[in-house]
Amino acid sequence: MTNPGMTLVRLTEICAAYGHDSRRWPAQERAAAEALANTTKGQEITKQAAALDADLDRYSVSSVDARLRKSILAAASATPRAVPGFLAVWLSALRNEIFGWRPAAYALTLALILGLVAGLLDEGVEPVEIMHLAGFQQIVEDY
Amino acid sequence: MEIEIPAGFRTGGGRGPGRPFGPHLTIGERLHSETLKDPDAGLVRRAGSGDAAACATLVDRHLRPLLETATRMLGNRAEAEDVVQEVFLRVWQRAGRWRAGQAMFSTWLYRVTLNLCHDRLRQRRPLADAAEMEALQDRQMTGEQRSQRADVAATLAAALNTLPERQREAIVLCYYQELGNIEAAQVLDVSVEALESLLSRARRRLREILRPHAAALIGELS
Repeated sequence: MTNPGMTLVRLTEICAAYGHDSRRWPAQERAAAEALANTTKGQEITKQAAALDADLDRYSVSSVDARLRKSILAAASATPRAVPGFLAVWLSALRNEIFGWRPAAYALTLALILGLVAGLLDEGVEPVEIMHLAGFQQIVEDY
Repeated sequence: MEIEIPAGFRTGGGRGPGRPFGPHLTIGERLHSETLKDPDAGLVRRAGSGDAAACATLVDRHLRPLLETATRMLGNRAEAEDVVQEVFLRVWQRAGRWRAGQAMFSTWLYRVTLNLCHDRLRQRRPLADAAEMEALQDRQMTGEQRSQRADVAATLAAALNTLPERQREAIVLCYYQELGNIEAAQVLDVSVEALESLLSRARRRLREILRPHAAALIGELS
């Protein structure tokens, strides 16, 4: 069976890209290309590609060893799972609801600093106490 | 957050007008029909909920092709093993967020594998280029003195490693892993036409590189 869309030029392109083995050829063109490849001119084209294929087939890679498989599966049981997408969205919304306190925390910190500065102006505070305060602010920001 | 999928992976993706596939299907339509039948979708879902049997099946199904891909991309078995371990680690971490229908799971696996190979190649690029060319020249000079079979395999590995990365990826996916042209194009995020161009250039270049070694290759074959 021949396909009017399949030509020697296209068969040459196919062999140049995918090699001589028709199993690697584009599925949609395979039948038509195989039919053309069985002609005398078609065989000349595939023969040229076959030489390089024979060379490439010399490059084999050793098989998987059991140690690697075991290691990967051990990682599977040790890895914490990500929550499914819908759950992640729900948790994110919930977190925003509950932990919408962040702006309030900053406001509280600012109020504390202002209060402390006002106190310092009045009474004079030891430097170590100021350091504690700065540390507290850092903890709030980090959190 | 869902697993990020490059634009070309998405259902109906692909660039350019494309050649029609059969009387009715365009590239985009074919991609759509293929992504709906992902044989791994159920396994990934179960792996995401911690099903050990599903994890083992996924490993048995994909470890060998991914390891072969990484080995041929990197030309180094130890590095390839590191890469596939990292790939599966990402699978275990993200399986719960996988959404079937956007891309074949195997397509995503190949893409992640190639990306990790890219990272490693980028880190060693200047050194590797010089070393590969030197190794190839060395084999050309002393090919007859070496064990012929080992030399042929090493010559082919070195030849593959001298290809530009995109061409090497195309050859590894289509020739060695025997991916269909549509899935390979998806993995590489190019059109089928661009994939063919990469393959043709890769094979032409390999033929040129291997020509000086023809005698050794023929000897090994006989």
